[in-house]
Amino acid sequence: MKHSHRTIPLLAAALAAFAAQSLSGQAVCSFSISMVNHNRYAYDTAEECSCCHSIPFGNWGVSSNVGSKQDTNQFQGWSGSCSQVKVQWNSCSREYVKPDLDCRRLNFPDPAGQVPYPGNGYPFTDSYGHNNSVPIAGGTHTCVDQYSPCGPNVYGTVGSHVGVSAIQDWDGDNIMDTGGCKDLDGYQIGVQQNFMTVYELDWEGDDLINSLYFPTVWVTLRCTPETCLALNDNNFDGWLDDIHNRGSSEYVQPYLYQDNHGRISYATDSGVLAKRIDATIRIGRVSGYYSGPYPPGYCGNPSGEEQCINQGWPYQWDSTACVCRCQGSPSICPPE
Amino acid sequence: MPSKIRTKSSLAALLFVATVAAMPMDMTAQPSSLPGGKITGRLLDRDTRKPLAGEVGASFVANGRIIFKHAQATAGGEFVLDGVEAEKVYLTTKLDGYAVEHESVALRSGETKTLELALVKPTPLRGRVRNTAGRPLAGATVRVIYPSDAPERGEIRTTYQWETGETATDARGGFVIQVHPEKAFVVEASHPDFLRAVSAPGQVKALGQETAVDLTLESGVTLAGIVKDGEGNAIQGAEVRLIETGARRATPGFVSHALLEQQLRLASSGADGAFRFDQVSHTTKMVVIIHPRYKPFRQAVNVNRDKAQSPFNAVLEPQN
Repeated sequence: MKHSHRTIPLLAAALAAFAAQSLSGQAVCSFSISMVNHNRYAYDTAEECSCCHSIPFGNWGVSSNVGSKQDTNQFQGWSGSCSQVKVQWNSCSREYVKPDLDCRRLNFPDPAGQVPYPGNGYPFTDSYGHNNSVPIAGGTHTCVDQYSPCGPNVYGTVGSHVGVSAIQDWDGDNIMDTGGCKDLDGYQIGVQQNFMTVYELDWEGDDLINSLYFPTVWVTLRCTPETCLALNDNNFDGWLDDIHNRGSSEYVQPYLYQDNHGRISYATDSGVLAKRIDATIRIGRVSGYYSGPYPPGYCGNPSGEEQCINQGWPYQWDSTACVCRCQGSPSICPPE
Repeated sequence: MPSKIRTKSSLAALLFVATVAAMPMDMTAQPSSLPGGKITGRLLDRDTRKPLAGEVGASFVANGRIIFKHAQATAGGEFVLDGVEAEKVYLTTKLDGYAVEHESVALRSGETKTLELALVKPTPLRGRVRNTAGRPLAGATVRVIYPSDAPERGEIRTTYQWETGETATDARGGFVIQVHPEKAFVVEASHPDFLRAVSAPGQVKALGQETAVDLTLESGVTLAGIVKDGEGNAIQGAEVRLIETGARRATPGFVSHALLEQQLRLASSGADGAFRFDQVSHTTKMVVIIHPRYKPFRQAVNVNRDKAQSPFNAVLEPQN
C-alpha cells in the first residue's frame, strides 16, 4: 500500500492532537531521578567457569526496582579503564588460587593498602575463609577478592510528572515568583523496596550472581517555580555534591542477600551465607523542570505573540513552546 | 523538523487503537483493616490470559513526600502493594518481553482495591541518528517517550527506564527499541556533543512494523561569561539561568525531560566568577543571574548559529 507524502504530516498532526487532549494545560513539574551504586566488591563468583569460557572476565548488569539490566555501565568492575564502557569483573573468582600474587585476576585488598574495606565488617561478615587473614593495609598476599575503583554508577532512572499549580510572575519582571515546581519545595523523595539483582551478562543467557536488598533512601528537594534540585546540589548540575564520597552516610548497605540458589541471609546473620558481592546505593541525581504552561508575555517574542492573537481561531499562542499553533483539525491546519 | 518518520498506515487504524488503549480495566473495592490503603492485583498476558510473574512500580504524592514503591508478583501473577498513604496511586508494570502498562488507582484510607493488569508483547522500532552532514552518530542515547494523561495537582505519573527502552546507537548510528505497539510515542536522542532532538509522534501499530525513525542532531554553541560586582570583583556562587525564550522545540502532549533541561540551563559561577554553557541552541535566550547579596540580573541574548558567541559579562548591583 502506498501513501502520498501528505499522509505523514497529517498523521503526525493527528497524533499530536490526540496526545495534546490528554495534557491540556495542566501545570506539571517533570522529574528525572537516578539511583546509583558505589562501593562495589565481589567475594565469590562462579559464573562462566565451564570449559567453553576461557576468559573469566565479563560485564555485569543490574535489574532493580528502578531499572532493567543493560549491557552498559550499571555495575562497573575493574578490568580496564573506568572511562570505557563495560568495565569487567572476574566472573569465576572461585577457580583462582588466593592470594593472586600478581593481582591480575583478583585485586582486593590492594597491595598499596589505599582502598578502604567494605563498611560492613569485612572480612568477618561473609562465609569465606580465604579473606579472613588479609592484612589490615597493604603488603603482599593481599589480592583475594575484587573491588571496583570506578566510582558511582547509575543503575536505573525514574521519570515523573507531578501536577502542580500554574507558575506566576507577580511583579512582571519575567522572573517567576510562585507556583510550578516551587509547590514541591521541601518535599522529600523516597525510594522504597530497593533491590539490585546483579547478573553476569552473556549471549547464551545471563547468570544471576546475587540479589541485594536495601532500606529506603531519601532526598530533600529545593525548588524554584521553574526547577527542583536536591538540597545538597550546590552547583546546580543535578548531581548530589557528595556523590563521589564513598563514605557518605547517604550510601546505604544491604540488609538482606539472596544468592543464585535462592538462599537468603540477613546482613546480621552469622556468616551471611548468601552474600557473594557487596555494594551501597543512594539517590544520585535529581532534576525537576516546570514544563508549562507559562503566563502571557513569558516568551521573548512579544510581537509574535501579539500577531498570533490577532489571527484569531484556530491560531493560539503556545507560551510553553513560544510558537503560534494552529489548533484546528488537520484539514484546516497546515502541517507544522 | 530535525526528524523524520517513514510510515505505512492509516489514521483510522490509529484512532481505533488509541480508543482500545484508553479502555479502563475492571477494579473492585473492599474495606481493608490495614493502615493506609492496599492494592492487590494480578498480571496476565492479554492474549493467552496466563499469569505473569512480573513486577509493579507504584508512585504517589502524600504528606510532603513523593514515594516510589515496588512489588514482585508471584508465579501466579499476584502482587500486593501495602501501606499506600495516598488517594491517587500510579502503577507501572515491569516484565522482560512485555510492553509496559499503567493504571491510576484511587484509594481511600483503609481500603483495599483489586485489579488486573493485562500485558501485550512489544514491537521492535528501528531507527538511525545522524549529524547534519548525514554521517551516522555512534553512542547517542535514544529513548522512547509516551504521552500520559495530565496529573491533577498533587498527582503523579511515572516512567521507569525499562519503559523508555533507553539504548545507545551502534557504530552505524542505528538503534532498536522495543515499543508498545498500541501507544503513540516520540523518540528522543541525545549526545554530549550535540543538541538534543525529539522525533515527530508515531505509533507502530498504525504505521506498520517497518516504521523507522531517523533523527538528525545539530551542533550548538558555547556561551561563557563572568559575573562581577561594580568594582570588578568576581562573584562566586551566583546561580546562572539560561532560559530559552525564542521558539522552543516541544511536541504537544509529550514531555521530554532532555528538552526541558536544554531549554532551562543552570550553572553556578566559580571562584573567578566564570560560568559556561556548552551545546546551547540557536534561539533567543534570557540570562538570569541570582545571588542573595545582589539584585537579580536579567538580559536577553540572541544566540547566532553562524557566529562565535562573545563572552558574556554581567555586573551585579548590590541589594539595597
